[in-house]
Amino acid sequence: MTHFALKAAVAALALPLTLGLGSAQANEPLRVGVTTFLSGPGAVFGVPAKDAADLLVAEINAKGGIKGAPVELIYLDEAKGIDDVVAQYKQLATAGKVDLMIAGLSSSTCLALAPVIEDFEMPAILWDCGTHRIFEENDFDYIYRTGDLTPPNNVSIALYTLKHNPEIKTIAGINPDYAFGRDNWESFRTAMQALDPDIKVVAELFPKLGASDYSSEISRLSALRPDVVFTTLWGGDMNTFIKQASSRSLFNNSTLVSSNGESALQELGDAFPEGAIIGARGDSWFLGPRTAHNPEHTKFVEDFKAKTGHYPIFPAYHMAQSVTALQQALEKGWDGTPENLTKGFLAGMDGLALDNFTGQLTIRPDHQAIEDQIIGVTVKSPDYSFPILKQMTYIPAELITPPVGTTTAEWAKTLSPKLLDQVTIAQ
Amino acid sequence: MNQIVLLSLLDGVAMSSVLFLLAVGLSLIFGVMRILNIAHGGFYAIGAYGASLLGQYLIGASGSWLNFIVLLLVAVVAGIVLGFAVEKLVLAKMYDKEHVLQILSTFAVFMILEDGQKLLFGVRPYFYDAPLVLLGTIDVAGIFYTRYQLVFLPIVALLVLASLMIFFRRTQTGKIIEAVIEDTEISSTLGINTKKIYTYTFILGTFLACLAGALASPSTSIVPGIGAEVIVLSFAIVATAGLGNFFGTALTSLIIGLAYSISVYTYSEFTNVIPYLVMALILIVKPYGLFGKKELARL
Repeated sequence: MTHFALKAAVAALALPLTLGLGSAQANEPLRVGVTTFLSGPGAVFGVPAKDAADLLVAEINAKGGIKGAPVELIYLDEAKGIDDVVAQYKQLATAGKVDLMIAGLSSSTCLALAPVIEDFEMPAILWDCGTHRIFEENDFDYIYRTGDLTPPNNVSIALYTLKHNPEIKTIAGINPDYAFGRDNWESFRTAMQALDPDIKVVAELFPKLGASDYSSEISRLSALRPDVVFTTLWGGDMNTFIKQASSRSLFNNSTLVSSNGESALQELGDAFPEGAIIGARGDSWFLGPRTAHNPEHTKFVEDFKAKTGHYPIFPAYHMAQSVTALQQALEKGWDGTPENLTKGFLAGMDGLALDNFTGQLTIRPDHQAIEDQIIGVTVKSPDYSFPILKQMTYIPAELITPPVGTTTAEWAKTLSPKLLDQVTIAQ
Repeated sequence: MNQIVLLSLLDGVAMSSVLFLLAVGLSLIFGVMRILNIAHGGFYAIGAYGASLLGQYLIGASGSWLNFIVLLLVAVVAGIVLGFAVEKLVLAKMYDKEHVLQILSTFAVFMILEDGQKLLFGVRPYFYDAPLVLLGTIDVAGIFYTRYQLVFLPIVALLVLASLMIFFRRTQTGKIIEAVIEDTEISSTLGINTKKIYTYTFILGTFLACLAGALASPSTSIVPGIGAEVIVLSFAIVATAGLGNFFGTALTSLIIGLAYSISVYTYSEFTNVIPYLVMALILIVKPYGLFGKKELARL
């Protein structure tokens, strides 16, 4: 064999090997760490979110993954406590066992974990936590949030409530005694009083998270008869409060308003009062008009119901937003090589506009997504064993979200009754 | 103002009934066996899950007087089975060990029960309120109260208190148990089977914990973690009352219930710390609890 022929033979033999090595790199799994509540009371949100992630990732992988890389989800349970989650993340990141993060059902997880992820220079999407502090107090290069935040949740429902019930004069709040409950109440109360300075607060109650009995609080609210009872109680607490309050006819005289109430509709079924004003923390709801004729959305709802026996609630949509945003960003900005993952993620996430079965959102220069907020009024339905929403209205994001570079506190001072003129609700 | 006083009183009494039922089982075991039974929270949760699920399965949404039989049956069966099993398999091996090991063993039982509940019942909240709805509401000064919380539970709490006081003061078994509390060694030399007494007492305490859970279940969501919520509050009540003193437990529950409901109407920022504020204030004045006694430690 000539020298040339030998070289050619070696090259011919080697070529499949190098090609094989190249495609093995593209087929290395994309390991995504996901923090959510898998146990404890938060599991009512965390497990539906996990179900949504598993469903969507299975579909992504069935279609060949993201740029040929199969997605692998690694779950961290937030119920074990912040210290545990941070420690677990550090272990995974140090050992090189995770490439990206989708983090934070709870605001405390986001606030504790985001700086650590940033230190590791790892791409991350915050998927559910609503604290406005995350980007107001920090400047992150690698962290984005596809989930919405507390101010738009509450300003939107305040606008809707006043447009729907302009005669309201008194409000009361019953919210869990921790940051989420207090921040949401503060946001709602400030908005209501800015939009209508005649509004009086007659009671501010903060029972502890996980309280099993609201009898005294309900008695007080029954005696005061506020026009509006605002609550961000969730999970078992919301079920207990609604059931106890309903059995004592509290909502005969007061309208229930809840910016996160959508998640309780299926749990409570017909025990959920009619005429309540409910938000879904974003523009996603399984019967929302915007996605009513979207075949991908119909498939998602059917698959989710088949898998879990329930319709998707907002945590499931929040997770879906993060997973689909991640997919879209990487498909757009990433070349499929491990060494360019971070660069590709950042390129793809910058200015991302998502418009799919989860609704619509846009990522701003400060890495925060903005989206409209769907609000509606509960009504019993012959087609479902729980109340659904009528008079659904999407409150536009730009009216209800603090602009880039402005803190929530500064922006709240600019709210005035004039904002009501810019909003029309469905009749 | 009069309305606030009346409502505070009514809410206070309703709440104190629940607190008493919650704490009395722990008081009994703590008082007799000197063991801080952390598994008390787990038994409470089992009683709640059992009553809720069995009621839903056997009787359904409409509810009937049978619901109340189910509540009691769940408490009796769970109390006997769990109480016997835990006492024989775990505690009996720990009586001659240090207190801290005994507490840790009950903590281990609690953790096992917590995870067992999640495996068996899942993580979604359960709510079965048929017994509560059955008894209807009562209008007091224009405010609707449920008869279950305002009338039924206080009556049950009083019955439990009376039964325990009669049992311990008027029956032979009760007096034997008191003798064992007073001095285990001498009781043993007098021919009392102290091991059996411990078993009976633990079963009774477990029954009371399960009963509290079963009775609370129609008015609240049953979720993972309800057991843990109960332990700290029960301990605060028992410590304030004085170990093993049922009347003290009832009085402490009343004080805390009234203080809590008054704070809801007046300064609601304090409501969550009220039970522990009451505990701290009483223990400062009476370090062994309202009816507790200083005891000599035996070396």
